[in-house]
This record gives sequence, structure tokens and C-alpha cells, in this order.
Amino acid sequence: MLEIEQLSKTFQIHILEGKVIQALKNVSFQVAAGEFLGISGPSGIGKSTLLKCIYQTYLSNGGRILYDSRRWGRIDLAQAAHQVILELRQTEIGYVSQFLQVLPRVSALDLVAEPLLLKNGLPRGEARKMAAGFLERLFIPANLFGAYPVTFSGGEQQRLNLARAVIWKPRLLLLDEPTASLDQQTIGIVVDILKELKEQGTTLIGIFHHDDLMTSIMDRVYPLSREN
Amino acid sequence: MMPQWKPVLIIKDLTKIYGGGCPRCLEVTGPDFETNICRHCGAVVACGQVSFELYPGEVLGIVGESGSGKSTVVRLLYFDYEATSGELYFRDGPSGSPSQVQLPQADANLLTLNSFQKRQLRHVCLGMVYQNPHLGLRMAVSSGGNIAERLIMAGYRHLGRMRDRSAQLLAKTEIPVERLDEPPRNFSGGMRQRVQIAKALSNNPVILFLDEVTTGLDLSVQARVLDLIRQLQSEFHLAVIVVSHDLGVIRLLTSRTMVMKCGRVVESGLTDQILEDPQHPYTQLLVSSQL
Repeated sequence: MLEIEQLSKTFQIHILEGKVIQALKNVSFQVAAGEFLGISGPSGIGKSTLLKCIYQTYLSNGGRILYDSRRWGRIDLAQAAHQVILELRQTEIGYVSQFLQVLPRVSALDLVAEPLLLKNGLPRGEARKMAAGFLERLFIPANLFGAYPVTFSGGEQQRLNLARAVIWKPRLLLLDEPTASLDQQTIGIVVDILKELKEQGTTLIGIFHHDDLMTSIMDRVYPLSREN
Repeated sequence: MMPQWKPVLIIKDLTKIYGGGCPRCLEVTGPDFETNICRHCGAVVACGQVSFELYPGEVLGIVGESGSGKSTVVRLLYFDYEATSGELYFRDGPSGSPSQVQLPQADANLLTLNSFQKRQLRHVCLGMVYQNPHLGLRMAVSSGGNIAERLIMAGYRHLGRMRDRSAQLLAKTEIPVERLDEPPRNFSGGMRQRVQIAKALSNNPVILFLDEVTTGLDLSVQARVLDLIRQLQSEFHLAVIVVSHDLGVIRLLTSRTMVMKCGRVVESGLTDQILEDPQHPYTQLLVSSQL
């Protein structure tokens, strides 16, 4: 499904007279369809950088990111046109970070229902119903559905963020520590949700810190080290 | 098999020079020289060799410091200014030309059209919201009249229908319909901006230009205007060019972004890539200056 070949990423920081920081060097691995791959390694080793390179938020400096897309077959994401990347983000590849990107004046319920409207083309009523079910499952109280998420607690925001990324069932989901500030009970629910997603055929690549519960549903762990 | 997307707007080497201009103007200006004033002839290169494509239904952002040429680019595209050189192609029909406007030939460079044809194109296919509502609205004419002006250009003749359409557009931009007959000079800045949006949308444009729409508005009005643009964009599947120096606005609205400095495009890419992995020194500075 996804094949990373000799991926490298450097950052050139112009404010430090063009100092070059090597973030990733010759990273290679493969992920099969329907697999859950964990990425491990100490802080600052480049785990998030790797996910962002796959999602094309970061431009890689060498190597190939080969992805078997549903629509166009095997393509190199590092070389793909912007329109292709945007289309894939719209229809196949999801990304969830630690932080919620809130939209002004959009309620929690609509925020979670939005991907269903835009990506899956569901009618508004149905999308909201599904979103409500999802939020209930993640212990977001029903009386908060109409509120704006800016006012929510960190954990609630993180759960919304996750709900927003998972609800439209992407084909490939990149998870960058989406459980960092959740309690054990909620993590349990998240694990169940991801497990369901995996059973329905989604391929997952995730970064999770010290999380035995999450490790239990991973198929494999790829360790990033200094050599990379 | 790679997909082929058909751009709705193709811009090649768009250049606008104020002042005499000499053959070396473009060589000695730009971000590398930290100036857009030609040292040989003193001409100002407001924008130089700007090339990009705009796709149907996409929102493209243009960011950059004051005087970098952002507004010049959109105003050239809206035919407010005459370009010094460059090529501009617009196509929304299957034949490779604007579907609703008769052009001398199907694949004409739109910058070479005569002013009648440009005006026709602008009134049928384009919409513009200026930073300063005084440019886009007649302050002493009723809001309905302002919108009707554009409707007449687009071929409306029936007064009742024009009033209905104006009322419908004002309702959509959250302006009380009772104020249809009030002139925009009685309105607040945010309301004027929304009347401008209503006016720009009145002819169902294919491309909408937004020049600093939220600058100077208070936060709640700003959120309302942004919300409105997002809604309208998804509803009408418009192609939009957003000019702003507010990176928050750019992050929220756009999928692709161009960064301009000294009249040139220094970097362009996916919006999240520009904001999180900027390559050009100026973009790095800009992103790190964000509040």
C-alpha cells in the first residue's frame, strides 16, 4: 500500500545563516494494506517529520513515497502535483495531529459532521446523526454538541480532532499522538475505534508514546534511530 | 495514469511596470535585490513575471508584505489595471473558452481584448471584493441599487426580479432585507464588506477575487465574513483568489498559497506546507512573525 524508499528530509534555517538540519536520512519501510504500523523512537528523532512527509505537509529532499492510490494506481507522493495531493487528502488519506484546528463559529457537532458532508457526500441530517453517535461514544456530553470547540478542554478538543479524522473512514490514516492527553478509559475507546477502522480495511500508521493498550492492536513497530 | 485537471484560469508572466520602463527593469528588481524599483530607469515593477494556474472550485491564497504586489495581481486579473505584458487565459466551457462571452477567437489572450470585451467578461464571469468598500460600492446609492448595477450588466432588465435577487443576496450575507433601500454609507465597515460580497456574487461568477476582505474588521464580524465565504464557496463551487496578510485567514480558507515579495512570487505550494515547512528565507521570516 505504501512503500517508503530512502526518504530524506533536511531543514534549511535561513535565520541561522542557512544552517542545515538533517531530520531524516534514508528511511525505508513498507506498509501492507490493512496493516497498523507503529513508529517508535525518542523525542526529536523525526517521527512526526516522517508522517508529515507522507502527508506532504513537509517537502522531502530525497527518496520516494510510493502510494497505491485507488484512483490512479501507484504514484510517488513526493513528485505528485498539488492537485493530486489535495484530491488524495479529500478522498483517501487522513491525518490527525495532537491539536484541533477549530473553525470559527462552527459547533462541535458540525465540525465532526463536516468531513462526512464534504468527503462522503452524506446529507446533512444523516451526517449530524452519525457525528452525534460518534461524539457520545467518545464521552462528549450531548449538551456540548452545539457549543464552539474553542471553549473546550484540551482532552475534549483532542477527542473531537480524532472523531473528525476517523469518522469519514479514510483509506490510509496517519496518527500523530492523538491520545497524548487522554485518560486510560478514553484511550480504551479510541483503541476500539481504531480496531474497528482497521477491520474495515483502513491502513494505519501511528505514533503513540508509552501506550501498551495501543501497541496491542499494532501489527508491527518501526523503530526510528539516530542512523535515520 | 496521472489525472489531467483543467485550470479555469491560466496566468503566464503577468507583469505590471509603473513609469517608463527599460529592458533591464526585470533583471535588477525582485527579492534578490530587495527592491522593486529599477535602478536604471526608476520604474516600479509592481508585479513581475507572475505565473500560476487556478483550478475550478479551489481557493488560492496570496500572501506577502505591503507593497509586494498582491493586490496588483488580482486587480490586473479583474482588468482594473492594464498589464504591461503577460498572458491570461480563462476557460470554463468545454470549448476551451469562457462559455458565456463571445471572444474574437476561442483561445484569445484576454489581456489583448478591447475594453468592451474585458468589461463583458468581468461582469459575466468575475467577482471582486475590494479591501476598501469605496472602490467596490457607490456609497450614496441604495444597497439594492448597487447590486442591481451589476445585475443590469449581466443582462437583467426586470425591476421586480432585480429587487428579488438583491434581497435574496443580502439575506444570504446576513444583511436585514429591510435595509435594501439604504445606501452603504449608512452601514458599518463589516456590513459594507458584506454588501460588496453580495454584489460580487450577484452574477454567479466563476471566479471571485477577495482583496483583504477581513482587514480592519472586528473579530466576530471577521469570523462571520469568513464563515460566509466558506459556505458560499462550497455551495457555488467557486474558484477564489484570497489576498491577505493574515496567515490565519489563509490557513482557514485556502488550499494552495503563493508568497510574494518585491513584486515576485518567491514560493508557492500547499497552504499547510507553506506554513509549516517554508523554504524561502522571506517565507520563514513571515511564518515566524505570526502572533
